[in-house]
Amino acid sequence: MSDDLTNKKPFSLADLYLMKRLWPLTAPMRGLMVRGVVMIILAALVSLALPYLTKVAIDRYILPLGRVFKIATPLDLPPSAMGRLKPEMFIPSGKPGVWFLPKSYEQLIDRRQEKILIDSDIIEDSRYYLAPLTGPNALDRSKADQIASALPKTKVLAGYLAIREADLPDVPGGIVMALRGADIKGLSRLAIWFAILMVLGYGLDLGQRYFMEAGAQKFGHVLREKLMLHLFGLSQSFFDRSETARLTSRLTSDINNINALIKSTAASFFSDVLSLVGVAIIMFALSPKLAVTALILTPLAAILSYYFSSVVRILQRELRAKIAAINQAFGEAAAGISIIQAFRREKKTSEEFEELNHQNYILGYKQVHSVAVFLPLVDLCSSVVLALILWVGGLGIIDNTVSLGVLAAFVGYANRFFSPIKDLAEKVNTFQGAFASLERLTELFDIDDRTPQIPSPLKPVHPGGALEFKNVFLSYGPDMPMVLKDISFKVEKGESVALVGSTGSGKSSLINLMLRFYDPVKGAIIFDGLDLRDLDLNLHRRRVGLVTQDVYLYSAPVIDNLRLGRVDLDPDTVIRATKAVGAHSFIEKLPLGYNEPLGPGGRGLSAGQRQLIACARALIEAPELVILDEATAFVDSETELLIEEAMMTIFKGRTSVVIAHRLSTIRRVDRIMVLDRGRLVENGTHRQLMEKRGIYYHLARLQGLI
Amino acid sequence: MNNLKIITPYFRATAAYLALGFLALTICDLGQMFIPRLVGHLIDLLADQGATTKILIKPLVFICAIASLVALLRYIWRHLIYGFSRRLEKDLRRRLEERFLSLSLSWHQVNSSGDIMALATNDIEAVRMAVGFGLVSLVDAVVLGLSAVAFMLSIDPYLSLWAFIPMPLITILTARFGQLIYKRLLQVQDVFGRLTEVVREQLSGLKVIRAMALEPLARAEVSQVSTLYMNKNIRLSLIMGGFFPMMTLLTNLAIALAIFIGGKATILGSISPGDFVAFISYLTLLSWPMMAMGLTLGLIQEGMASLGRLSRVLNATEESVHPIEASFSPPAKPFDISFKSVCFSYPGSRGQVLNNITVTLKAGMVTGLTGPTGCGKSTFASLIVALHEPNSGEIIIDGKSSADWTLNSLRGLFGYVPQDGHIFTGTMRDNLAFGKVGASDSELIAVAEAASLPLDPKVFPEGLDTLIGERGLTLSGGQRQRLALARALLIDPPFLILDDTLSAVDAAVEEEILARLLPARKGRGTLIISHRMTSLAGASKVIVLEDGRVTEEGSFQELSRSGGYLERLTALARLGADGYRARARVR
Repeated sequence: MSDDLTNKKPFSLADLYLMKRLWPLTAPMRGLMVRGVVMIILAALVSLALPYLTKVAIDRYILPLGRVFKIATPLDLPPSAMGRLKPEMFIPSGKPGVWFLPKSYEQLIDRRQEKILIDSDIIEDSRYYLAPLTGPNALDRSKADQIASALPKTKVLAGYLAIREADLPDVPGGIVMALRGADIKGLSRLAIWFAILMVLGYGLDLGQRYFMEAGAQKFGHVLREKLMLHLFGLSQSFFDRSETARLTSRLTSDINNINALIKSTAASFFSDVLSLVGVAIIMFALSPKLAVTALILTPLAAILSYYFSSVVRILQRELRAKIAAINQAFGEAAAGISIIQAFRREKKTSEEFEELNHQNYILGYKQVHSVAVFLPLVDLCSSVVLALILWVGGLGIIDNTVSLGVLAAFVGYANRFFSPIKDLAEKVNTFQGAFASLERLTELFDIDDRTPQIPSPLKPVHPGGALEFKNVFLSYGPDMPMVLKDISFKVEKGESVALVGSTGSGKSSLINLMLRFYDPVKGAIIFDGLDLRDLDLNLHRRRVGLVTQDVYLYSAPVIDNLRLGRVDLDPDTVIRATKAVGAHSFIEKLPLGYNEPLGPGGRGLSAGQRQLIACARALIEAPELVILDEATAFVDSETELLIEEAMMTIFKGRTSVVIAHRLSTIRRVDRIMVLDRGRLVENGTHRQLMEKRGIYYHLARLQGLI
Repeated sequence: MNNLKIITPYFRATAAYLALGFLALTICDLGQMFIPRLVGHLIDLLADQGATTKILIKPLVFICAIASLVALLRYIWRHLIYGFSRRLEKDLRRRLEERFLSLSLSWHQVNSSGDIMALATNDIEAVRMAVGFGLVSLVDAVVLGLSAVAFMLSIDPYLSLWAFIPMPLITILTARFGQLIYKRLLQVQDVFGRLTEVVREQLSGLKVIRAMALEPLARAEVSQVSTLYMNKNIRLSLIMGGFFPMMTLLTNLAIALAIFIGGKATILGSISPGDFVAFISYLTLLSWPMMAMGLTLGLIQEGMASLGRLSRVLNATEESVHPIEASFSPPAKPFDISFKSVCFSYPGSRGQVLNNITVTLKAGMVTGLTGPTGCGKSTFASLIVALHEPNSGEIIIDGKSSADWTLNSLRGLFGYVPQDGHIFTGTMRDNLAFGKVGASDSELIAVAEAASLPLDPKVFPEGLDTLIGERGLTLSGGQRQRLALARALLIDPPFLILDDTLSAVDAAVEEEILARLLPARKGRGTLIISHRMTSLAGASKVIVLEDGRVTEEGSFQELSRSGGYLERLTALARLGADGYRARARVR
C-alpha cells in the first residue's frame, strides 16, 4: 500500500548514480537497444520524407512553374529587388535578356519585392511552365509550334517553350501527353518510390518496436534473475523481517516500471524533445516575433498537462485499487457465501458492496470530469495560439514584415508543438515512477544480510547424523526476548526423537537452529562432531531433510518434483520410494500419472498428498538427519494414517526429529523431549515421562491414551 | 440480441441526455473540420494585395468563438456520455451483486468465484467501454469519416474511389488485430500473474526451499516463467508493432495511389493543384475514423460477449421453494428437526450424497454425527440451514416442512459453524459481529472467550480492531475455527450446528471449549459433527453416516461397543494405527 504513496519522487542527480549501478546488467540488451535507436532515427527520417516528396511531386512534376525575368544578367537586379535571391538560382533561357527562376525559389520573393519587380517590368504577374526543346525529353518542334500558335501568350525561348500557367489547361488535347509525358513518368516513378520508402519505413518501425521491447524485456529478465540470486543469498532473518508482498512487487511491478522507462518512455522522450527543439529552432529562424507568439502559451500548456496528467494518474491508481477491492469483495463473498446466507447477512454484505461500488463510481466520475476539463482546455490553448499567430502574422503581412509562406509554416507548426508537450508532461510521471522503482531495487541490492560462512568450511569426518545442542540460547533480535533458553540435548546416530510442546514453546525455533536459519546467541550446535558454523551451509542442508505439510512444489511433472533435479535417477527408485510412503496410489490416479504437471504451488494436490510427496522426497534424498513436522491442517483420517505410516518408514535407521501433534505418533519414537516456554523441561521415553506425571502425562491423558 | 434487454432500459430512461450528448459530439467534430477552412480562407484574404487590419478581425473572432464552443461542447458530451456509462456500470454491478448474493449454494458450487470476480470487474467494464468509448468513437468515426469522404468525393469521385481502396482494410485489420492484441495482452497478464505467484510462493516458502537445498530448482523455475513472460511480451510487441505502423502504412499507400492517379489528373488539368493538396490532406484525415471504426467493432463485440455472460447470471432462474411472506412465527421453545426420506445429489453430478435419510434430532438435545470423509456429513448440515434443498423427501422443523418456512426465519433459527472457519478480510470485530452487527465490545469479548480465543494483546495487538485475513494477521486453522465458533455463539442461536468445527484445535483446548459450551446450551439443540471421540462423547445421541446412509444410531456408549464405525474410530484413537492393525489381525 505505502508503495503506491511513495511511487513518485522528484529527480535528483542521485538517479544518475542509480542508473550507473545497474549499468553492468544492461550488457545483454545494449546491442538490441542500439539497433532499436538506429531504427528509430531512420524511421523518423523516412516519415519526414512524406511532406518533402509531396512538395517534390508538386514542384517538379505537377506544376514545374517559374518566373521569367527580363534582365541582362541576374547580377543586374537592383539590390532592393534581389532580396534573398541569389544569382546562381537563375537559369539562362538561351535568349539574351531573359532568365528563368524555377518555382522552388519563388517563395523567396516576398510580396513587397514582387511589387517592385512587377512595377519595374522585370517580371510578369503570371508564372510559366517550361518545356525543353532540346535534350532527351524535348518537345518536338511541330508540336511546339502548334502550342505557340494556339496559345498566343506562349514565349518561345532558345531552349525552352514557356507556357503561361493560366494557359496550361488549354493546351490542345493531342499534345498534352507529348508536353507532359516526362512529368507524368517522373510522377509515377516518384509515387512508386514513395510507396517503397513507406514499406521500408514500416519495416523500420516494426523493427524498432521489436528491438526496444526485446532489449527492455531481456534487461528485465536479467534483473529478475540477479535479484532472485541476491535474495536467495540473504539470511532467513531478513525474510522473517520483510513482507513477502513487498519483495514480490520488487521483482514484478518495479521491474516492469523500469522496463517502461527503457522502452517506450526513453525512446519517445528523445523523439519528443528532438521534435520540440527542432520546431523551436525553425520557428525562431523564420520569425522571432511569431516564434515568441507561438510559444507564449507553452508554459501554461505544459503546466496544465503536467498537473492534469498527475491528477488523472492518481485517479487511475485509485480506480485500479478500487476495482481490485471490488474483485476481492466478490471473491470473498463467493468463498463465504454459505456463511453469508446462513447468517442472513445478504443485506449488510450488499450494503458493503454498494459502498465500494459507489466509491468506484465517484472516482470514475472524477476521472471523466478531469479529462473533460483538461483535454478541451489544452486544445483550446492550441486554438488560441493559432488565432494569435494569425493575428500577429496577419498584421506582419499587411505591413510587409512577414511573408505569407512564413505565416503558413507557423500555422502548421503551431499544431506540431502541442502534442509533444502533452506527451512529455505525461511521461514525467512515468519517469518519476520508474526512478522510485529503480531506487527501491538498488536499496534491495544493497542489503547484505547473509549467514556468515567461514572461508574454508570443514568436511564431516564421521557422517551419520549425530546431533548435539550445548547450552543453546536463541533470540530473534538484540532487543527481543530469548525464545530458547539453555537447551542441551543429544540425539544419537539413528535415534528418533519427538518434540512436544504447546504453540510458542520453541519447537520451531529448535528446527530453525538445526537447519542453521539462525545461529544461537550463546552455546553451540554440534553435528557429527563439528560446530554447525564451521560447516558448508548448503552441504549441511543437503544432509538434513525436512518433511512438512508446507511443501515446495515447482511447475514440473510429479516425477521431476520427486527427483528434484537429479534427472539421472531411475524411475524405479522413485516408485519404490513412493510405494514405501504410500504416495504411489494417488499419483497413479492422476490423469497423467507421474507425468502429471504440477502448477505453481502444486495446485490440485491436497495438503496430505503434498506431505506424502515430501515423505517420498526424504526417502529418495536419504538425508542423514530428517526433521518432520506433523500435519496440522485438515487431512482426512485415511491420509492421516498414510502419513503416519510414511513417517515411520522414514524413521527407520535414520536420525530423526519429529514435531509431534498426536501422541499416537509419539509412542513410536525412541525418546520424547517436552519443551515449555523455551526450556527443555522433560526428556525421556514414554514410560519414563508417564511415570514422572508432568506436562507430558497431562497431555497424554487428554488424548485418551490412558 | 436478447442480451441487450439488460441495458436498453437505461438508454430509454436517459434518451434525452444521450441525444444531447451525441449532438454535442457531432457539432464538435464538424467544428473541428471547419477551423482549417477558416484559416485557409483567412490566408487567401491576406494574399490579396491591399489587405487591411479589418479583414483579420472577423475570421479571428470566428475561430476563437468556434474553438471556445468546441471546448465547451466537448466538456458537455464527455459528461453526458461518459457519465452515463459510469452510472450504467454502477447499476449493473449493483444488480449483479444482489443477484449473486441471493443465488443458492448449488448455483455457487457450479460457478466458480473466479467467474464471478471476472463478471463483476472485467465484464462490466467491457460493457461500460462499449457503451461509452465504443459509441463515442463510432459516432466520431462516422461524422469525421463521412465529412472527409464527402469533401473528397466533391473534389473527384473517380480519384476518391481509387484512394478508398486501402481504407476498408484498415477497419478490417483493426477489428482483427484488436482481438489478437487483446488475446495476447491477456496472455501476458496471465503469465505476469503466474510470475507473481511463483515469486511470492518461493519467497514465502523460502525456508522449505532452503531446508531441502532446492535453491537451484527454485531459481530455474523463476527463470523459466520469467523467460516465458519476456517472450510473451516480445510476441505482443511484434503484433502491436506490426499493427499500428500498418495503419500509417495503409494511409500512406493510399496517398501514393492518390499521387499516382491524382497527380496525373492534375497534370492533365482535370483537377486543380489546390484540390490535389486538399485531397491528400483529407486522405490523411480519414485514417483515424477508419481505425476508430475497427476499434469500435472490437469493443462492441467484446461488450456484447460480456453482456451475454452477465445476462446468464442476471437472468438465472432459480425457483425458490421457500415462501416470501411468513405465515407462522418461529418457535420460542426447543424444537425437533426430522429428516424424512431425504435424498440429495449435487447438481451436475450423478452420485447420491445423501440416500434416503430418515432421522430425528431431538429438541433441546446434543446430537453427534460422524462418519468417514465424504460420507455426506457437511451436506447434511447444509440441508438443515437450507443452503441446499433436498431432491426428494422433506425436512420437518418444529412440525412444519422446511419448504414452508421463509428463508429468513428458517436461517434465523441456526448458528452454523462450518469446518473451514471461513473468515472475511476485516477486523476481529467485523468477523465476530458478523451475524449481529452492532454487538457491544463486551459481548464480543465474551463470545471470543467462550470459544477459547481470548483477545490476547500479544496475538491481537489491536484487540478487536486487529486486522485479520488477507491484509492482516494470518490466523492458524485452529484460530479460524474458534473465531467461526465465536461468531455463531454471538447470535445465541436456538439451534447450533458445529460441522467438524474444532478439528484443527488442540485436543486440550477442544475439551475446554466443549466443557464450557455444552452446559450453556442446555435445553437448546446442538448438532456436533466430528471425528473425535472427545467431541462425540458429550452427545446424547450419535448418528453414523456412511456413504450417504445412516448406518448406526444410538448413544455413544452403545455405539462404541457395537463393532461398527464408531468402535473402529475409538480403537484408532486409543492405539494409533499400528496398534489398531495389530488388534485387527489378532481378531
